[in-house]
Amino acid sequence: MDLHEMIEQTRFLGRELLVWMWWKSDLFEGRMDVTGHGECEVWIDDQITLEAAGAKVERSQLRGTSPAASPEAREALRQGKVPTKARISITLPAAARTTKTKDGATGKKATSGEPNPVPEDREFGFVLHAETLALSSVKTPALLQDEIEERFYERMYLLEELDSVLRALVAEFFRLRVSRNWDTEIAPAIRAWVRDEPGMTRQRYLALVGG
Amino acid sequence: MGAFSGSMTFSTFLVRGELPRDFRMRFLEGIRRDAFRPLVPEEETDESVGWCSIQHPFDLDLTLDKVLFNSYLNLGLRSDRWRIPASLFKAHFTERERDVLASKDRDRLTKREKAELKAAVTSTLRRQILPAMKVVDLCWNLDTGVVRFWSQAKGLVETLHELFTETFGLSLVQHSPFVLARSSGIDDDSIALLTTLEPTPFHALVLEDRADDQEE
Repeated sequence: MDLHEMIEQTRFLGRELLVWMWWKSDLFEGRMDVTGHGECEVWIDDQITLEAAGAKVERSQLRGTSPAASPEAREALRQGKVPTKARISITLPAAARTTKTKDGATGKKATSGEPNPVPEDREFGFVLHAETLALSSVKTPALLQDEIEERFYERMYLLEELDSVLRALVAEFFRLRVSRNWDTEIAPAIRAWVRDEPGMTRQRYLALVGG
Repeated sequence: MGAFSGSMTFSTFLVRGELPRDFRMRFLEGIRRDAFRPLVPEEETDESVGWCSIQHPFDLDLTLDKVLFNSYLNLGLRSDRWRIPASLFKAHFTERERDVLASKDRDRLTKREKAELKAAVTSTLRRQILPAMKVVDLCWNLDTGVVRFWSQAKGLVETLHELFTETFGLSLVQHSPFVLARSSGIDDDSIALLTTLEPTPFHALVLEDRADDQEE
């Protein structure tokens, strides 16, 4: 099988990734440990599109405040629809933040020798497309730099940071997805969640992922 | 909208292949060779595509300090296209056709004469209008091999694939669940398993769930 075939054959995993993120966010009430980034808030924000593949594509486009928590969204899952795109919000805990300048030096708004401390949590928002895992309408935390080139480095720094969070989430999902636990515990728990029935506990999930 | 300001919508790619040892000079040669060339009204071509400065789309004299930003290689992918409104073209063509027919005292033009007149009208109108210009930012992180391209339009992405390979001698693979899994630190055995997976049904009870229920 060549690379192109492997890519096409595994596209459905993007939709499963979105279902897993949605379920996990619900299970942990939006707060989850992300490897390398500490406890982050991850939730489906103000839009989600679900589709059922078939002769005629049936689509549910839900917008507004927390559409993923609406009865319509869960009903769409029960009808066999899966998310094809969703607006996700991720809030990272407050941390030191530095940017690089064109000559590679560390740029700081503060004049001290320490990295620029960012006291507030940092919120990212973006639409994640399941089939390509492409991001659109990405919103990053407010920029600190004034100069245009410095702002570029800061934007790239924030995108790399977002990319790192997404990779950590994706890695957790794929490790689970290829493990035996997916079929025996995770998928049944997600199906129970879809039916609004009691499912997995947080402790059990953490035990499964070795947390 | 792009790398420096505005809302961020982009496609992400991984670069396949290693950077050559003397990549700076080799890449610059390729970039200068494939730099954007403005459209000329007299030429037949409808569209021109090439690289420009990411900060100034009219700056086509590309040098290392304009494209290398620390560990990023930044470029604009500029494409210009003549867009003559059909109604405008038709009006001008009809008028010129009438003049020619009157001067030749005939009631119709031959196929060849029509083609020549069409070319002449097109050339005249091109001198009176500006081509439609589109510029899309591209940022290549040379350390990680990740390219961000500020468009998700299929046509532009295809153009990027072609031009990128031609300029840099390296190919791009667009992000997908499989590509991201491979670059997220998953071991090779797990990657191999990914291609054997079947979609999970989330909406219906499956036999395993029933069995679990009964055991409980």
